[in-house]
Amino acid sequence: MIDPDHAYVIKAQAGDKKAFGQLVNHHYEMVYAVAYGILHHHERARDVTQDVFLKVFRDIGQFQGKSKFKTWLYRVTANAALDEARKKNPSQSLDQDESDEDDGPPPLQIADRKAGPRDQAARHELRDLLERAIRKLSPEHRAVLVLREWQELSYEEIAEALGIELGTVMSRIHYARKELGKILENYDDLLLNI
Amino acid sequence: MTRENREKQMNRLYRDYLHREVRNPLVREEKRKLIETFFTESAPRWGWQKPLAFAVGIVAVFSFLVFFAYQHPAWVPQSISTHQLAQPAPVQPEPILEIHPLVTEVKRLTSRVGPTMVYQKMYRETPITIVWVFANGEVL
Repeated sequence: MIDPDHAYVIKAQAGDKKAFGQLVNHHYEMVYAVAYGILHHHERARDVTQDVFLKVFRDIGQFQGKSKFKTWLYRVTANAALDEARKKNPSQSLDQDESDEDDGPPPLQIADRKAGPRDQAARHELRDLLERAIRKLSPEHRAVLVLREWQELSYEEIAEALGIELGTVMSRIHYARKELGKILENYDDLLLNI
Repeated sequence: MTRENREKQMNRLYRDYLHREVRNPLVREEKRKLIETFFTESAPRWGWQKPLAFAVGIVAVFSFLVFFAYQHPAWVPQSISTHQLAQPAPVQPEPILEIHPLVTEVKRLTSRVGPTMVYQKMYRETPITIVWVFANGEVL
């Protein structure tokens, strides 16, 4: 197993900050995506991302290279984000303008099938629905979803990263997908055209 | 649309959604700040300037002290005057006050109730009352 980060990790373990800076440069967006995918809050995701890299740099001497550096980073990130989510559970993300109340999806009025602004509006609406559905999921469900759908980790890797059973991973992913799918059941036509 | 297709579409939407969130310019800016703040070992901003500033500071402080010393007359040693110091007149000690004997006036005030004796006497113009109690005294 060749780890593309191996050389930088060795240097960073010797105290080379610039080498670790290269690791940050390569993996920042990934870490941020996992943090945001779990927390669904930009500011907290940024804070967690910074904390993760500082912690990893501090503890990099403990990394023994048995797995890829990236895998270790996933684990630290997911656990940090889940810890942050459990600390406080704001009812509304600061980045969102919508309330958390769910009276069901509003009916989508499709007058005709012209392309352009109508499709843009429909996409925007669908995005809003998707965000609402994601917010309804627990941080634990969001964690498995982001690691599976965004990072494309295997179920075994997700189980290892989160420290949970394989069966738990699969059931959580199944539940998350089902819940997201519910929101979109009424928008088959829209999905087909996007 | 079949459930499987809907799920695939949904997954794609989810990835697109996250992709948009992560590609936010603010995220790139935060990354740059993080690397610059914690993970670069740039050249020290103060190379030769720091020792120079230190030397200048030392010279400035020393100059100030020298200047201040010559401004303050008390710090400058002056030649000792050759004039003889005037001798003050000797002080005659005051005579000790005469001690007058105490004037004591005794007034005997006996008690007919019990074995006690009460009297007054003057002590420096202050009357004081003296009370004697005799435990085994008898009434006379």
